[in-house]
Amino acid sequence: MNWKRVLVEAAILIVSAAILGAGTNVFRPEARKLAWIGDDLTPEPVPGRAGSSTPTPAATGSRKDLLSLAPQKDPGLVYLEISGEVAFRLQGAGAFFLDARRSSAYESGHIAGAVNIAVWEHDADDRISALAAKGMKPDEVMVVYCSGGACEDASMLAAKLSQAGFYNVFLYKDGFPAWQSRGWPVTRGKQP
Amino acid sequence: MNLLVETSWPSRIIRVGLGLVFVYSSWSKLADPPGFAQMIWNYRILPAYLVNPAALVLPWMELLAGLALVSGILHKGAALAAALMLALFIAALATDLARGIAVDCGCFSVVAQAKSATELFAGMQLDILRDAGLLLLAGQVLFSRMEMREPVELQGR
Repeated sequence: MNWKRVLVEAAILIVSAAILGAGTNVFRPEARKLAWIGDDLTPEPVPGRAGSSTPTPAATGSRKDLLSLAPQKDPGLVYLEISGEVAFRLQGAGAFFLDARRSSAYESGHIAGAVNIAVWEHDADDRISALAAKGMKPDEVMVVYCSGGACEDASMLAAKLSQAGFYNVFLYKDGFPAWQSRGWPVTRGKQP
Repeated sequence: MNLLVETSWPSRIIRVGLGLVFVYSSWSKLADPPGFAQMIWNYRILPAYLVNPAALVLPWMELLAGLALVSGILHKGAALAAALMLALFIAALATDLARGIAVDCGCFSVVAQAKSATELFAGMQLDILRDAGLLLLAGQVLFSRMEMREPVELQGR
């Protein structure tokens, strides 16, 4: 067998695949596009911006209530896991919910009021930067979730939020399936 | 122009069959790169900066290798590439089995199934067996004997 020829053929295929992979990624819609290089979001507690975190919020009444309702959380932790009951209480008090699942999953049903930031989709970082632009304070009470079980999307989103300076992030570990099965408020479609 | 073809029919069938498996497996990954990136990340093998590039290129590699095997164009190179990919998949699954990390194979679908860890481990063992079988087929294509034929003669058979 002519090994040189086989290797050249294999190399042609590999180079073509690299060109096609990169080329098609440019033209895909946002929900199907990938960032060229992913962030390292291994979900381990990393030191947050603990030093700068003496929260002196110029809070409105409801924000203050929310902060007092939320469990005590060390600002140095990326996130704190909460139970369904606490999540439900926070949702009732108007906490900011973030759905980390894919946009298709979000559209077919999500926690009422939750905003979608699909960590694996191309525009996740832009959406996080937009939060601060929309007036979210670093101490904003945020609850992230994904599909429960072994899903890590929510902890990855929490890591991204921590990098963006938010330090009151709570993780609802049981996720959407558990929420739905308890008959708590859900919505369908693209809107929160 | 002369065509390079296998000397036996079973070899041709194996080549086309293996090619079809690769074309099929590439499909859902091509359609949804973020979903595939998530699958690769779940394996906890590649460093973070390689996950997305792998998710972009690997599906095209599968499609091109599959098409090459089916059509017979560049098919020896495709058989080598297929064998390397299969060896890689087996190594990845075996690594995670040994480390006790339950993953959804992501072989033919990038939509995560709601499965327990036990089900996932059983699935991973089967996936390794299947990939080992496919690896044997890729080896068969790679080492199958070829001969030059006139296209006319080929049609006459």
